[in-house]
Amino acid sequence: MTTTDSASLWQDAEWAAALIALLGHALGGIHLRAPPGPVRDYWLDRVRELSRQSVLRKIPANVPEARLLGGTDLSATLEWGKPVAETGMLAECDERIVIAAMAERMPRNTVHHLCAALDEGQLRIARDGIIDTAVTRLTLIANDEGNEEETIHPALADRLGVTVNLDIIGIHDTEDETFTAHDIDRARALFKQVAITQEQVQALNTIGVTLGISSPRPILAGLKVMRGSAALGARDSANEEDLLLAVRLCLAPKAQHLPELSEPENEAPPPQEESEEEQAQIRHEQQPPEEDRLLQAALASLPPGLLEQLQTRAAKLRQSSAGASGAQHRHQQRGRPTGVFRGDHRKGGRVNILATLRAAAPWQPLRKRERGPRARRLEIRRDDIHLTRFQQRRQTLTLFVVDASGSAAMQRLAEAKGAVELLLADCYVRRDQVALIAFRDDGAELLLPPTRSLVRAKKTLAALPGGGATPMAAALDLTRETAKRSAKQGLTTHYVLLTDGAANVARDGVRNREAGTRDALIAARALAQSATNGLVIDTAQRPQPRARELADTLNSAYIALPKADAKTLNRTIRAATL
Amino acid sequence: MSIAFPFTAIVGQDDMKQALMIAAVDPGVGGVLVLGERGTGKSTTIRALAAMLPTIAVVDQCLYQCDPTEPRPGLCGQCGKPSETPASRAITIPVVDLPLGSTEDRVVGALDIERALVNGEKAFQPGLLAQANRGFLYVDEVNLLEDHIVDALLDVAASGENVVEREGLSIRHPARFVLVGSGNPEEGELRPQLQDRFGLSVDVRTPTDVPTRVEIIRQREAFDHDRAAFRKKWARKEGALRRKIQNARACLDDVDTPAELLETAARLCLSLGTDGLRGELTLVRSARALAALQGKNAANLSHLRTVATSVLRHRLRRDPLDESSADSRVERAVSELFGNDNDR
Repeated sequence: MTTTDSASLWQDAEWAAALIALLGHALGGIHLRAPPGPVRDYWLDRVRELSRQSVLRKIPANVPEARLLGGTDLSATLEWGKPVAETGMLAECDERIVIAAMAERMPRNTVHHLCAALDEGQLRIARDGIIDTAVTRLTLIANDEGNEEETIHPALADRLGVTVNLDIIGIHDTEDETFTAHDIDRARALFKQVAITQEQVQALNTIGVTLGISSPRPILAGLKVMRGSAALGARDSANEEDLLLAVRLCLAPKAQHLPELSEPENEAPPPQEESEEEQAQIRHEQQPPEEDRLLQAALASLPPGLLEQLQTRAAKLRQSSAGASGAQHRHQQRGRPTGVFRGDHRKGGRVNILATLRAAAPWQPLRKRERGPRARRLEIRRDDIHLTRFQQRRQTLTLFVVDASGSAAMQRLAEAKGAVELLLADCYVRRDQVALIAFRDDGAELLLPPTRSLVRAKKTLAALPGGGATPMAAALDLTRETAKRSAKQGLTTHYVLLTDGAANVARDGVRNREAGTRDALIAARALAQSATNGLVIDTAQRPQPRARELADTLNSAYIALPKADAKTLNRTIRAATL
Repeated sequence: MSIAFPFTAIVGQDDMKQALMIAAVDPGVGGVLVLGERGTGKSTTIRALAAMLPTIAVVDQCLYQCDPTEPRPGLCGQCGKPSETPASRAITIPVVDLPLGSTEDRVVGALDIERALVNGEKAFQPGLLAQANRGFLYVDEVNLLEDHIVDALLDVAASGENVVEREGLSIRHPARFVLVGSGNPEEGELRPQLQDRFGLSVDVRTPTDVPTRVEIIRQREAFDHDRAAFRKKWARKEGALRRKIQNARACLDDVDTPAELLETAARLCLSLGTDGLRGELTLVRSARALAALQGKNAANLSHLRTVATSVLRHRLRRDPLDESSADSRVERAVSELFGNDNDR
C-alpha cells in the first residue's frame, strides 16, 4: 500500500517539476522538503531537463548581504578609479531557477530579500555608494532539510507556490518520466488561454478557508497550477483533476488545521475557537456540497501518513511562526557593520573600500603631481585605509523556567505567571530576548524558543496549563541545553526558575521524591558549572528549605514569591543578572 | 519599472487605504505604520499608492524636489537663494523605497566618490532621504531595520532636515517626508521611539469570508494575466481618486476647524491618557484631511471619530504585553465621549 502512495507522491513531484519549468517566476518557487539523497538528485535532474537549464545556481544559506544584493566591485573599482557596481546574486539569477540550500537556516535578512525579489521581480538596492534597481525574476527552489524544530521562514514559505515532499519517497518509488521538455513548450503556448470557471475559483477559495489558510498567495498559486496542469494536459479548460492537483500541491501543505472528514464519530474535538465556529457556520451556510466533495476528494488523494505529518507540522508552525529568527540574530551579532574607522588592515579587520577611496580622493591631484610620470591611476597611502567596524553587541536572553506541576500550580501558578509578566515588561525595556520552558508531568518543554516578541511570550504563558508531577531534573537539563545553544548564537542567558522546589520525577522518568530530588541536585550542579547565572523564585505558599537548597546548589539568587512585589522582583533580577 | 496594481482595485483594507490617503493629502500628519500578518496586501497597497499619487511642481534640476512657489528658508542651499523665479517642472509625488540592508551612506547621502576621484572635487551625492523630500519614504519590514539606520531616520523625521557632517562635507538639506512602515508584529517589536514618529497606525488582517476572498483572487488573477490591460481598465477610477487627492491638497488650508472639534480631541486624549500633545494635533490634522478628501469645508465630529482609532491606537500608555486591548480602549473612550449614536 505504501508503495502506491509513494508512487503517487512521486507523480505529484514530477508534475511540480513540470509546472515550475512552465510557470517559473509566476509561481514563485518550490518549497522542497527533502533530505539529501538520490531521490532529491533525481528530482532536481528532472527540473534541469524540463526547464532546459543545465546548471541550477545555488544560494548558500550564509551568503553575505553584499554578495546577494551586489555592492562595490573591489578590483574593478580600484582599476577604474571610480565606483563600479558588482551585480548581486539575485540579479544574476534573473529568469533562472535557483536553489537555496539549507533554507531553514537562512538568516532573516536573506529571507526578506528573497521575498522582495519574488514579490516584485525587482529589488531596490541602496548600499555602498550605489542606488539601483535590479531585475530579479527568479524562481526559487528552497531546499528545506529541517526537522520539526526548524523549518523555513513562514514569510518565504507563503511565497513559494508549490510544496514538494520527497521525505517519504524511496528511490524505488520513482517512475519514468511523464513529461519532456517539448511538452513544456507546447503547454506554454496554451497556458494563457486556459479557462477557469467561476465555480472553480470559488471552490478553491472555500477549500483554502476550510484549511485555515489566511494568505491569498497559496490560492493564487493554486489557480496558476490549475492553468498549468490543464495546459500540460493539452486542454483549454481546467477540470477537476487540475483542481485536485492544485489542492495537493499548493493548499494542503500549508493547511493550518485539517477539517473534519466525513466521520461523525470523530473523537478529537476541534479546537474551541470562535473564528472556527464561525467558519464552520459559514461552511454550512454557504458551501455547496460540491465543494465538500472536492475537498474530501483532494484530501483523500493524499497518503494518510502525510496528513498526520502535515498536522504536526502545522501545529509546530503556529507555535513558532518566527521560524529561524534565532539564526538571524546570530548573524547580526557576529558583527553588524556600524561604521568605519581609520586603521591598519594588516592587524585584521575588513577594509572598507568606499571609505578608503573617500579618504584618498582629495589627495589625488597632489599625490599624482608628487609622483610625476610614475603616478598610478589611484594613489592610495596606508593612512587612507579605513576598516569596517563591527559591533559585537552582547544580547541577553532571559529564559523563564516555569514549574507548572500540580504542587506548584494549584495555588501559585497564576501568581507565578503574574511575576513573569512583570519581568517581561522589564525585558521589554532592556530589549532582551525571552524564551519559556515549562515543566510538568513527564518532562520539560521549550514552549517558546528565544524571541523578541513579548506578545508571543505572553500568549504562550497565558495558555500554559498546570497539573501533574515535577520533573525538575529534566527542566534543569533543558535549561542548560538551551543556554548552551543560545551561547552559540552569541546570547548570554539568564534563567529565572519559578518553582516550589518539590522535585519528584527522576531523570529516567520514575516518579519518586528521593530520586527526583537527587537527580535535580545533580542537574543543578551541572547547570551551575555552565557559567549561566540566574534566579530562583520560590512559589511555595510557605517557603521551604528545599527551594533554597536548590538555589544554593545552582549558585543563584533566591527570592520567595510571597514577599515579592513588582519592585523587589525587578531589583532582585537586576542584581542577579547584571 | 514594473506595473503596479491599481490602488482603487484593492478589495477591502479600507483603514489602510484611508490612512494612506490622509497622509497623501496632509503630509504633516506624520507617517503611517501598517502592521499585519503575511498576505494582507501591505506592500501591494503602498506600491499601488505610488502609482496613483498626483504630481507636484518642483524646481528644475533641484536634487531635493524643492517647491518653486515657496522660496523661503527651509529650501535647499541652491533654491534658498532666490534670484529670479526658477524654472519648474512637474513630477509625481515620489515614493522612495528604503530597502532592508541599505547602508548609511546611501540613506543620508555621502561624498560623491566618482567626482572626487576623477575631477578632484568635493561634491555631495544625495541619498534616499533627499529623494524622498516632499514625498513618501517606505520601509518594508520596518521592525527589522538596523538600529543605526533607525537613528538616522528618527532625527531627520523629527526635524524635517537632513544634516550631513562626514568626509569633510557639511551639508544640510530639507527632508520632509511621510514615513510609511510596514511589518509583521510577530517578527519583533518596533522601537518605541520609532513607533511614536508615526501619525497613524493601522492593523490589517486578511478577510475570512469567502466572497471577499474570491473577489481578491479574481482581481489579482486578472492583473497577473495582463497587467497593462488591467491598469487601463482601472485608469478612470485611478484618475478620479488622483484628482480627489489633488483637490483635497489644494483646499486643505481652507478647511475650518470648529472649536468644538479641538475640545473633543483634547478630551479624548485626556481620557485615554496619551503622552504629549502629538495625539491631539494629529487627530485634528487627520480629521481635517479627511474632511478635505470628502470635499467638505469644515471638519466635524464624525471625521474625528473615523480617524480616532488609527491616530490613537499606538499612543496609549505602553503596556508591552497588553496589545490586544488598545483598539477596544480607544473605541470605548470614543463611544463614551460621543454617545452611541453612530450617525452623527
